[in-house]
Amino acid sequence: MSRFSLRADGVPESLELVHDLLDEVWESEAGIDLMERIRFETALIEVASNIIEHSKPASSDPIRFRLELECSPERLYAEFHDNAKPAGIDLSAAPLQEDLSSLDNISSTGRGLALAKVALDEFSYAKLVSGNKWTLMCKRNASQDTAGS
Amino acid sequence: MIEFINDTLANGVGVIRPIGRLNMVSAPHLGANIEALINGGTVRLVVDLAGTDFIDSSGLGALITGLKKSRQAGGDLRLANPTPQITAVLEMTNLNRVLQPVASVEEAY
Repeated sequence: MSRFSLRADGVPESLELVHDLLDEVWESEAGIDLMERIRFETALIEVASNIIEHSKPASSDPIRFRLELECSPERLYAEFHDNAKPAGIDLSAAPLQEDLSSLDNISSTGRGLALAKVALDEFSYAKLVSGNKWTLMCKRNASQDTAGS
Repeated sequence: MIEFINDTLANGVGVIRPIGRLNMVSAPHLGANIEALINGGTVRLVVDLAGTDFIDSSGLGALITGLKKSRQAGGDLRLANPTPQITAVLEMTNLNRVLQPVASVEEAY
């Protein structure tokens, strides 16, 4: 299993650091299926964007987050910890089903966490005493094949 | 981080080419590019995604807003050359039902 991590400020420019860290993972762990990389990276960027865009500072300290990644043959796993005011997010209230029958009914916003949920095999959020924790997991094809055999 | 290369085809179709990643930082720039073309009278648009490495929900939002504005102006907004991540995101969100990409700019209209 290989591990990667970064610490970043809760600012939009930090999204590039998340992409850069994932590039590092893909380079050092050859052979990860393209769809697995796409699902994982899409979800990570949505969660990082949510932290950056919606978090409220818990104190006079600026918002910061830590991202830890684990890559194994069975799964891609990530944890985000931030120092923001606990947000109390209910991921079950982030459905992606929407009425696509009329363009007027299709929203331009509010799709991020729902997209992360669809992209991942496991996705959870926990309010901490001082901050928030998000966990994200994509199963890898090899492990799904093994589970099915 | 992102660059937009725009041009207008002989048939009057406006082509917007975002080069880089479309995320919460760059999506507003895509929206502004689309709006500028519509305000200038170019209402039939193609977003050529061949050079767009990544899209997130805010990038999708800018495309939906652009689609609505172009249709309100009597035109349309279509997608061409999506990279695998964009195809996957359109499928995961089911937005490929309203933003169905084609394989090339020429096929868009």
